[in-house]
Amino acid sequence: MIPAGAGRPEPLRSARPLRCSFPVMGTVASLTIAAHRPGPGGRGALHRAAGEVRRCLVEDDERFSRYRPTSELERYRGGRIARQRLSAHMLEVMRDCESLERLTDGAFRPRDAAGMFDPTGYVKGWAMERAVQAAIAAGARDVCLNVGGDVRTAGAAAADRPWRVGVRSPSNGSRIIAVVAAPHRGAPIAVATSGRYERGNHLWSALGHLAEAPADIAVTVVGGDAGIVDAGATAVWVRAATSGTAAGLAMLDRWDGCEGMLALGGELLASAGMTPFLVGHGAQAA
Amino acid sequence: MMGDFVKRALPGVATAAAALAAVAGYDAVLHADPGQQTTLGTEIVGSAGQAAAPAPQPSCDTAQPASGHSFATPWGPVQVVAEVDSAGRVCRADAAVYPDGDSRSQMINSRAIPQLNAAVENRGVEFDAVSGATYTSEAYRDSLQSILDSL
Repeated sequence: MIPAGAGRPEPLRSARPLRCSFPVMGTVASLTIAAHRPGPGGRGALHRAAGEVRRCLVEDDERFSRYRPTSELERYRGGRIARQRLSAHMLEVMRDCESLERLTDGAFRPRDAAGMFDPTGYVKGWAMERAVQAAIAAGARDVCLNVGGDVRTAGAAAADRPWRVGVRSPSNGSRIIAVVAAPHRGAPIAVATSGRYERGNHLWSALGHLAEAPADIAVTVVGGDAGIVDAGATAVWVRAATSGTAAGLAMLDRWDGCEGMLALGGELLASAGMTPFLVGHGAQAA
Repeated sequence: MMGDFVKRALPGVATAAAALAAVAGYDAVLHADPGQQTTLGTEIVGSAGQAAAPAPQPSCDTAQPASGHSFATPWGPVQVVAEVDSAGRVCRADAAVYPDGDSRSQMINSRAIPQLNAAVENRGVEFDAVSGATYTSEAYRDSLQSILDSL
C-alpha cells in the first residue's frame, strides 16, 4: 500500500530528534539529528542524512579495518598494494598522520609495535568528520555523532540549547565529571577521550618502553576536528603518562583551537583555555 | 583539513581558579595549581555531595516515563526508568528495581541511585552524548550512552 503523500517530502510533524545507533568499527555509533530547524527536504532529509552517516562509517571501516584481511589498509600493510595504487582517502589519512606525528613530537605514533603504518589512533575521528560532512551535505544541520565515546557535533540540540557532551569518570561509567559544549552558539565541537579503562592495550603498546603506566588517567581533548582531537587525546595521554600531567596538558597550548582536561586520581586538570568549553564555567548553558 | 592545525607559542599562564565554579557531579573544591593548569575540583565519592534529587526543569512539565532499561552498575544491575519531555530530552532518571543482595549492596545502592540520577540528569544539565575511552560493542551495552540511545 502506498501511503498518502508518497513522493513528497514528509513534513516535520514533530520536533522530535531522529535517533539511531548501529555497530561499526568494533564499537557502536550513536547518532542524533535534531529537527528544530526544518530544511527544504523535510524529515526525509534527516533520514537520508542518517543513511549517509552510516554509509560513510561502514565504508571507512571496510577500508581502514585492521581486522579484515581484505581491507585496503591490511592489503597495503601486507605488501599487496603499492603506495602509488592507494586510494585518495588512504593517502589523505597517511599525510594527516605524518603531520600529527610531527606536531606531537612523536607522542602520536601512527605505527604498530612492528613499525608498520597503523592509523587506528586517528582514522576513527577522520571518518567521523567525513560522515558528519556527508550528513550536512544531505540536508541535516544539527547533528550529534558518537562513535565509541568520541563525539562530533554540528549545529545545536535545540533552538535554545547547544549540544552537550558528558565526560564520564575514568573510575565509574555511570558518573559524569564534566559537561562540554561549544563556546559559541551553533559552533561545531569534537570531543575525544583516551584512557586505559576500556581497552587500554593500544595505549600500552604506544608507550612501548614504559614499564608501568597509571591506569586511571583519562584525557579529554576538545576542538573543531574529530580526527585531530582523536589523535590529540592519545598524544596527550602518552605524554602525561611518560612525562607527567603538566607536560601532557602543555602540548595543547601549541595547538590552535584544541583544549583539554585530564582526570587523575579524582582530580581534574585543564588546559589554560578549557574553561569556555565547560558548561557551568563558561560555555553557553542554554 | 590539517591546514588549520597551526602551532602557536603560548607562554605559561596560570588560569584564574576563582573564575571556576563547581563542575556538575563535583563539589567546588578549587585551588590553583603551581603549573599552568587549574584544578577544577575533587571527585566526591559517596553520597555526601548528592543529597536530594533536584527539582525538575521547567521543560519537564510534560515529561513521560520512558521504558525501563537495565543498566549494569559496579554494584549490580539496576532497572532505570527515565522521564523524557516532548523533545526527547532526559528530565529525570530513577531506579525502578534495586539490586538484590546483602546489606552491603543495599547500602551501596543507596548511593548508586543518586549517582545514576545525577549522571543522567547531571543536576539539571542535560547532555546528548557521553565521551569516554573507546568502548567495545559489549561494553556499550552497559554504558550511559546506551541509556540515552534507548530513550
